[in-house]
Amino acid sequence: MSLIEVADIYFAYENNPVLAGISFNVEPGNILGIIGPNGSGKSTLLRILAGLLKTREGQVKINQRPISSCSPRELARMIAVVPEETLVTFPFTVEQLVMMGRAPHRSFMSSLTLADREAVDLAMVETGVKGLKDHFINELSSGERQRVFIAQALAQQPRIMLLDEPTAHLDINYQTEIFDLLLHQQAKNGLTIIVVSHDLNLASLYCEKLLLLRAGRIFAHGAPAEVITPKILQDVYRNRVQVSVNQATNKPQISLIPKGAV
Amino acid sequence: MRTKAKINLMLSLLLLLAIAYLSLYWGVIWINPFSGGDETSRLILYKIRLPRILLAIFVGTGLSVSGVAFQAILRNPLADPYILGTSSGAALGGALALILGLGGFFYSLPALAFVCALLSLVLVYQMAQLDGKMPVQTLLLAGVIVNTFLSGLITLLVTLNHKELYEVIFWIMGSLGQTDMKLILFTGAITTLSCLAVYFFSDQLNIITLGEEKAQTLGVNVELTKRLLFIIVSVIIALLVSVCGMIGFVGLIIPHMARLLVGPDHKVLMPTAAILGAIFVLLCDGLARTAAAPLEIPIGVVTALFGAPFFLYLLRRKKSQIITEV
Repeated sequence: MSLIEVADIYFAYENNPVLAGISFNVEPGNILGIIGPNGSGKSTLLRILAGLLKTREGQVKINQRPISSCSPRELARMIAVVPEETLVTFPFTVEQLVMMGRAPHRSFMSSLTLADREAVDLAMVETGVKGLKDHFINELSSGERQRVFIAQALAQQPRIMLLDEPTAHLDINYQTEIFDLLLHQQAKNGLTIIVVSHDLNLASLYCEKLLLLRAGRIFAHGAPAEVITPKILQDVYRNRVQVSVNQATNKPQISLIPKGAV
Repeated sequence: MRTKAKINLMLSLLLLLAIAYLSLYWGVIWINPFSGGDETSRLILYKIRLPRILLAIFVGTGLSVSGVAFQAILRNPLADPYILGTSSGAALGGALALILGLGGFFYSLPALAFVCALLSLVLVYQMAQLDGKMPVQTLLLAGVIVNTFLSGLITLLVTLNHKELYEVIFWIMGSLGQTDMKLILFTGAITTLSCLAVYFFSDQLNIITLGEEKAQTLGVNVELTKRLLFIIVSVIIALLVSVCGMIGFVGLIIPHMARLLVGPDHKVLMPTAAILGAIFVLLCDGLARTAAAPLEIPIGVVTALFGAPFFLYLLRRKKSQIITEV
């Protein structure tokens, strides 16, 4: 049984169609990468899956239930969302921020339960921010900040985690650190992960399946080896690329070929 | 709430009581509240000073809590009901009620003030939105412009109706001169209830400061929360402005002071801001009553004279600690 079923969704901002005819399923415990050129509708698709945007046609079901019928609170218990960057206006501490992840499980004006504290503690340990718990978020590096927001998402104890370009502003050591952490959660808790990325090599290395969008439609969907091919990438990105295989992981990796090269 | 935070709150509450008690003494004539005194002294104590002190406490509390709520919902450390034109909306409503002759009815003045406050709040909010976002500059600009426009309108209305200039000063600069104890207690009761209602949203306010989309994905019903809080804050502002006119800077600087002291968690921040606000208005009113005696300086002038430089000082000295960005 698929955990997430996306059936023929259509979405437009005003009269600009952004997505059309999008259908796919995600199995529990899978990692799906959504890739595609700028403006292909990746982030819009993710926001629809998060329940932040309503589709004009088609629907998204989670566990057989249409997300349009779920309250924000019900959704937040199933799905955690990590945006590219979370702006923090006021200097909260790391622990206070991770604690906010418990909000969907707590009742109105209740005090923290043991389960809340344990979930927060575990989330901080697993993301390696426990030692920073009393630090102010504005004192941290961008890599540390992103781990704090992943910890906040883990504290929600979701079945699904949606991430939008989680490593866009990070150095390569932080990039692999974040993805390794996600992979660990998948293996340990069966977390289902959908990640939008413009980094084809990272997506290919870490995702079991890739969904390639072009101009709001699915251009290719399958294992990295099926999607990351010179033919497909040339069609979508209009760029000449060379695809080789990463010796350590057996996953396809691309290198660009400049116009002048023979 | 942690024990340390509780102790701090108790201490500041004691400080507030001490200052309130001292304020009974403090005036053009110093009166010892326990000495008994003559008829005149008792009259000054119970008919003039006590109502005023109570009113100062309610005003300080209500304005500060409103400021805290605005700054969180709008994710803007420079937001407050005065700067964003909510207070001038309420003042316009109040002035209109008086001019239309509705002032005689106990509730119609605050009711019209409430409607106008909410309208101006919604107007500023709509004007400040650009492509679904609300940049800091646009919000402040929209607020300042609406505020200036409405203040001008109040002055015009009052002048055209051959009212005295002091009435303009009342609306624009504020006054704690109301001595009707029934009205003050009514104001106090509604303000206290409304502040408690805002306090119940502490968790939601914490989360909303991370952005509306983030808050929704953390399970907060953002639209509902925002609407309820806008209505509650409009009630507080409408009532306080109806009774005391517009008093600026309290809702702006007190939340910052409180944040410096106890951090941004609204569970602790809100009560701290409430108590600090009460203390601030009490002290400002003490000065307003005595500094130029027998003349009384409008309370809004004192809060601005102290508030503005203090705010600039905070902004320069502690920028990184109050806010992470503007």
